[in-house]
Amino acid sequence: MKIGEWHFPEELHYDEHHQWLKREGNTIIIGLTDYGQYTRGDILYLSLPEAGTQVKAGEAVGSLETGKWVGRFYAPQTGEICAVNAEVLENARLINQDPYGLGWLFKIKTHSSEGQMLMTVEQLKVWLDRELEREKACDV
Amino acid sequence: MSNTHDYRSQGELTQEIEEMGLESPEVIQTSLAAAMTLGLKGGTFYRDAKLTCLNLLLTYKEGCQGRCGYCGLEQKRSEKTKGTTFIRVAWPTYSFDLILERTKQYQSSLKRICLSMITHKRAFEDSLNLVSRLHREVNLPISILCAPTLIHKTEDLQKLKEAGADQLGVSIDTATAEIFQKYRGKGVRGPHRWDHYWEILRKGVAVFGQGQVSVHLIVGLGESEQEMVRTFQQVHDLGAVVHLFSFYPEPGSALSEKAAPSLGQYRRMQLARYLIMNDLAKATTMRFNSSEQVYDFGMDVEPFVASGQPFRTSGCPGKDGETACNRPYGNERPGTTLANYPFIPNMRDVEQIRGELYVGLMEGVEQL
Repeated sequence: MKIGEWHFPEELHYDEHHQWLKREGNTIIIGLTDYGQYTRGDILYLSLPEAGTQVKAGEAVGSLETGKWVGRFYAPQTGEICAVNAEVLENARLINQDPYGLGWLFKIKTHSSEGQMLMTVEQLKVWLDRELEREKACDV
Repeated sequence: MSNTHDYRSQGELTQEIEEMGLESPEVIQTSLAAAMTLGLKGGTFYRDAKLTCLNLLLTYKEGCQGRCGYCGLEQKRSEKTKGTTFIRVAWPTYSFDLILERTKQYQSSLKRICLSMITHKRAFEDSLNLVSRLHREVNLPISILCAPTLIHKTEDLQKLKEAGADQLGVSIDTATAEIFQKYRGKGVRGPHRWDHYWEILRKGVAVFGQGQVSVHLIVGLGESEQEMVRTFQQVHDLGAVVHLFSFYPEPGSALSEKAAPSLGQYRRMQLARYLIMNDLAKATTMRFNSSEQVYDFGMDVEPFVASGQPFRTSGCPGKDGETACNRPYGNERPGTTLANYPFIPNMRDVEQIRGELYVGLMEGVEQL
């Protein structure tokens, strides 16, 4: 689905940190959405959690830096980091170039269903349209 | 799952411009911040900073003929990093017509444009051309950061002013002749000469007027604080204004391994610059210790520290007299301690600055 200029695969879920999630059994894969990578800019530096780290839903688990901004990644659900994308650590620009494919960030093995509100792409559209309107109003 | 953009990214358009071998004046490089502000690149500014001056840079296939050891444009920079960054970030290339069109579209949110020459035989004539076009088509004041090595006559400076520039920039960069020679002149077999840069500065003040000429100085190239403060005074006495930068080690440059100046040193230089440029103090009334660090500014500086103003980015002003060239995160990574604040520091920032101001003094420390 396209929302504005940005692409959002319909089979994924999304959170309010502009992250996407894909479930594979007890494991969820997390990355940055197309909108997320665009609004952050060309990513220069990346810090991701180590495999084996226990994380709580909502916790900041990593950071990214562009030429002019620095921000964080968040664990959408409680669990254990079971994989980290080594390619993206070598080449952070993969996040900008292929946010839903080669640019995936890390995986969490979830122990429970505790987690933040996750949105389907239809729910995301409603939320993001509101966010874009709000940002447009701030730019006036 | 894969990226399915059905349009070419701006990065691909930029690449296309380079591959066609286009040069200035047809194309121009912009700072990353300018590209973001003109809607040509995505991205966000840390702490919602807003860029208020577009920084543009001439570009040629042969590049800049200078060999300045600290500069990202320097030709001897390692092949891996050449062309990748200049003053910390990438400077994407666009057609000048596109930049002009976008500048007109966004000019209400901007306060100034700055066009920088590089040391190249065509840079002077191209600067006249582009400054004229900007002056005709955009209602913003224009600074020209000249390449003094290309300029020999007062008439050349006059032409830049008549083309529409109201501010002249002279990047002397170093506080002493010795450091200039080492990193810009004979020490790197570079074309630049200290005496000539100061001559152009003096001629520039004669043509553009008092307060209309700026001198870039970089803290942390090996000078002492006393040497830098004396240079501030010298520039001020000539009727020009210092715009201050904190040395940043460009990857692949000859000085890539050199450390940036300590924050304490930079804060003291920011404060000294501010006091001297605003006629609040003189270099001769400040006190220096045996390590040539300033430990006493010769007056009560607390009101000025509390205002935060001395620690803002120093740059050319807008029509309102306030700093326009604020260069967000030009000297440091976002999220780290800011060397130059691209906005007025808030109370928390000021508290932090107070704690930084006298750090690293070897003796004779006075606490605020």
